[in-house]
Amino acid sequence: MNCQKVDNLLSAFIDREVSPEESREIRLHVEECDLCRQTYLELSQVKDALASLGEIELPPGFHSHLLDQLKQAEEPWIMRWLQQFKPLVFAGALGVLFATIGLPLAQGAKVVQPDPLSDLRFLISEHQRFQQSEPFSNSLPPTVTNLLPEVRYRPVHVDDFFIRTVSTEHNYAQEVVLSHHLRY
Amino acid sequence: MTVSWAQAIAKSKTTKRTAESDRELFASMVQEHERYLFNIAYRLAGNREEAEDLVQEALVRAFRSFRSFEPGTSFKSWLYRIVSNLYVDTLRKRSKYREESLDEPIIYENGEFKKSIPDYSADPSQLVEETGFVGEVQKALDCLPAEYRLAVILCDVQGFSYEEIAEIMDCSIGTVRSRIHRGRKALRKYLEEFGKERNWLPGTVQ
Repeated sequence: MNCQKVDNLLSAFIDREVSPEESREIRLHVEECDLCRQTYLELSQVKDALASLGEIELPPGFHSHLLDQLKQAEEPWIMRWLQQFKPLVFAGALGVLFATIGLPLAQGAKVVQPDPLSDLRFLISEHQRFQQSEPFSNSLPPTVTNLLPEVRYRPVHVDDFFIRTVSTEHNYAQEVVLSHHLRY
Repeated sequence: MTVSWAQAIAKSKTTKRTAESDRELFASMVQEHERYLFNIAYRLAGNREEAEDLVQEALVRAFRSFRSFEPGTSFKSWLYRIVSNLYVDTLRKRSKYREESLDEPIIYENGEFKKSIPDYSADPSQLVEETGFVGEVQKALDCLPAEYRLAVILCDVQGFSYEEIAEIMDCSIGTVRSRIHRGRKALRKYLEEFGKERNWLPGTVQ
């Protein structure tokens, strides 16, 4: 074995991590070669120096700190993330709540309920307007025609009148208007 | 109480697992390794605070993957591997930050301003880290590239075999061999330089 090869294997030789055959060859070489013997001694000194480093004691409370960390680690990441920013998250949530509900209420907004008869009223008023402008026409005004498909399948209660849904738009409109006339 | 890995797995398969039982099992399995992991971390990082953070974080990571861990590799190697990987990751992240020279002055329009580093030598609380020859060895270790440092520490401080180190560092035995060899040679060089500074005789480390 030449110096180069021995040098590469010297640390492994010191650690007894070479084959018995390699070990024998390296030992023979080191006994004869001053340079390799010097390197061998130096590397052994380094190993001894590292092995002589004293053991460091665990910091006090290490295990109980670990147990706390493990408990935290069990929570889902989103909760851990939220906990990290707890005050910020609450402040943000409150802000959003105030902006969506509190602020409009404070400005006097009312909760609006949809009026089920609004389109019927519109239908009637449109029909009356059309009849006034064209008293002799037999057809329906375009606004009414457009609205009818939407209204006609909806049973509507106008006070004590129940307006049935009927098949043709014309009849339906007439019935609506009729009911209107009957009522008012 | 310490439990072997095989026992723990057997137990976890027969009894109903809860979050609490998992935690207790993990904590009991880890307890015997804590001191060794901390020592490795201390030699890697060079100070107690970083070492403690490193081991705590690594064990939390280990715990998160504990449920999905299949036996096959040794529990011990697995723990050391997580610590090692986390350490290398931390170093990589840190190297992304720009390093700044403390000797160069900050130059303003009106002149220069010399940077200063606080001198802790008079503060006894700063003197807890090692001094003397042991301190020099640690200083030399700190100068090594991370891979060499890790291999040398695992071998010479903790006494792992090359095969175990290869498993921990996820590389071949040949790579372990060359990392340890180069690491020791570099250490030898640094120790000699420090020795000259302190008037130690060249050629003798101790």
